[in-house]
Amino acid sequence: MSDQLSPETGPVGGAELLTTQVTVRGGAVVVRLVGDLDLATVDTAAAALDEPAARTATALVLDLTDLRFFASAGLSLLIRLYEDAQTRQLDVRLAGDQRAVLRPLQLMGLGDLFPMHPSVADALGALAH
Amino acid sequence: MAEHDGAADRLRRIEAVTDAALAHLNTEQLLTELLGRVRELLRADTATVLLLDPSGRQLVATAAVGIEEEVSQGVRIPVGRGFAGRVAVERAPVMVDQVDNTTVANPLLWERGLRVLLGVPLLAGGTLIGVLHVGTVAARPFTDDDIHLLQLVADRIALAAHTEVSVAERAAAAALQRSLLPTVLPELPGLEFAARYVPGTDTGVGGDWYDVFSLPGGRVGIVMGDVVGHGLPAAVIMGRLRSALRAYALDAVDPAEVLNKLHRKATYFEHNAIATVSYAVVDERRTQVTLALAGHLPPILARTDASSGLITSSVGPPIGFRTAPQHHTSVVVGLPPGGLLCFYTDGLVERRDSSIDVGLERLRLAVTAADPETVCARVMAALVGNLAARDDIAVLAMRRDPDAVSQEPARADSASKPLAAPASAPPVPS
Repeated sequence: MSDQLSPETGPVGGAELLTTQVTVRGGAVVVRLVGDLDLATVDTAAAALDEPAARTATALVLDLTDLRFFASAGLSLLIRLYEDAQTRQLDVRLAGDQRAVLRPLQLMGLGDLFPMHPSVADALGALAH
Repeated sequence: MAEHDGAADRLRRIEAVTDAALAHLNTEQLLTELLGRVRELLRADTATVLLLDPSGRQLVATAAVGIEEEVSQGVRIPVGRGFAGRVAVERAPVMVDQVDNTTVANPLLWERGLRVLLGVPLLAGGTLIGVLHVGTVAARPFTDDDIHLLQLVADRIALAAHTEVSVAERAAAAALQRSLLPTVLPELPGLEFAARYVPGTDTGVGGDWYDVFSLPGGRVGIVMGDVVGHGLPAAVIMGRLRSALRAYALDAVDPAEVLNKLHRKATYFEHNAIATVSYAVVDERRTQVTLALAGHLPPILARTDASSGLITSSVGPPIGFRTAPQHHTSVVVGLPPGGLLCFYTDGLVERRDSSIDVGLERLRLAVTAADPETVCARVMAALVGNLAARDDIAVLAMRRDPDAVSQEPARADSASKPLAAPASAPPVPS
């Protein structure tokens, strides 16, 4: 049962590269990124994390299960989220442990930044505990 | 002025500010010409353009007629304060019929004797870039027609100014980058260098940089860095980080400590700046390299007697990551004679259509213990080819002189021996 807050949207010129979706599931906000996260699309992803539901959440799952490409431009996004999580005491989980996501994070020294789960269901399950 | 509001008059007024002849003027001339015409059409006494400065917090008087001292005295108005500051915040036309220190921040306006002010925002693609305002000495309010006309002029000015700023910023970023990236790398005994830098097609000049410098005691520092972002802001931060890193390199021997100091400086002074940096120090005997990585991709080491590989090292947090959970650490890697290290930025190996592993493997195969110029050329051919990269790319190759007599630290006399620096060492081409 999910309560969709925003339609799938993308930026002008980048619509085919990254789409975002913000939903509330149980007590957590799920921010889903689909496509390629890079220099051209990182602002779209940041806008999704800035939506009111995400801004006021206490538990957030960043759903990267359908992310095909994670460029180092995505670095700033995760760093902001981490800093934010600390100041707001927000519990953040990453869903999606495929190599396209995991490998760049490891190379950038950010592999241990957030707990990672293979799926959104696993991430939500872990949050519930 | 009976026909003042007539259709013919409106048309004439609009033509006066959309005249094709104006297209041939440069921005400064265009602003002055438009302000002159708008002052005449609105029977105003003054007309001023203030543009938002790069910080986004202050409006700077850029062009003025009837009150030229606004520009010559460098008037700056904080956004949110006074009359122009209010127009900037409201992003809508504002008219005041009382000009004094309660409504207006700039004393020049009331000293000029102005009684009525009308201001409109300068918006380019929805982004505020400044404010245009006109003033009259007579206590005569502006009409709705006047407001529409002023907004028309404002749109014209915004377009021209925005284009000018974008072009100027790109040029400034490119000039800054050129001045900071050495085209000719220093000639240092026992080592050879070559480098490449290519701006991205999407981003223009970005925040990539590399640096090579000699350190006290005959050591050599090698930097490869990448400021997140692009354009002038990234280039400016790059310039500051580059200088700071050089300063800390003189203070501290351990690369990890240099990066920790750089990190502290960046988090303290450079708000919201994030950069990945690789910093390596080659010892005076050229036999080993001490390396620390701040979120940066690891260099590739090629030897004459084995296959090339990524240097596995613990990667520390990117520079500027305020609440990073860990510090930087250094690793020491042996550098055999003829051994080559290849440093690079992510733009070289990241491609949308393939995984970063594919790019890294392609790079690993292209990097051999050969002449650094040849290696750079081969790397660019293998990873870039004829497809322009979207992000900017920097590559730096360093080789230990293959003909140098091996001077392993274990040898008792090695410390006192001068470095092997053959007279035939070729200069690095630019």
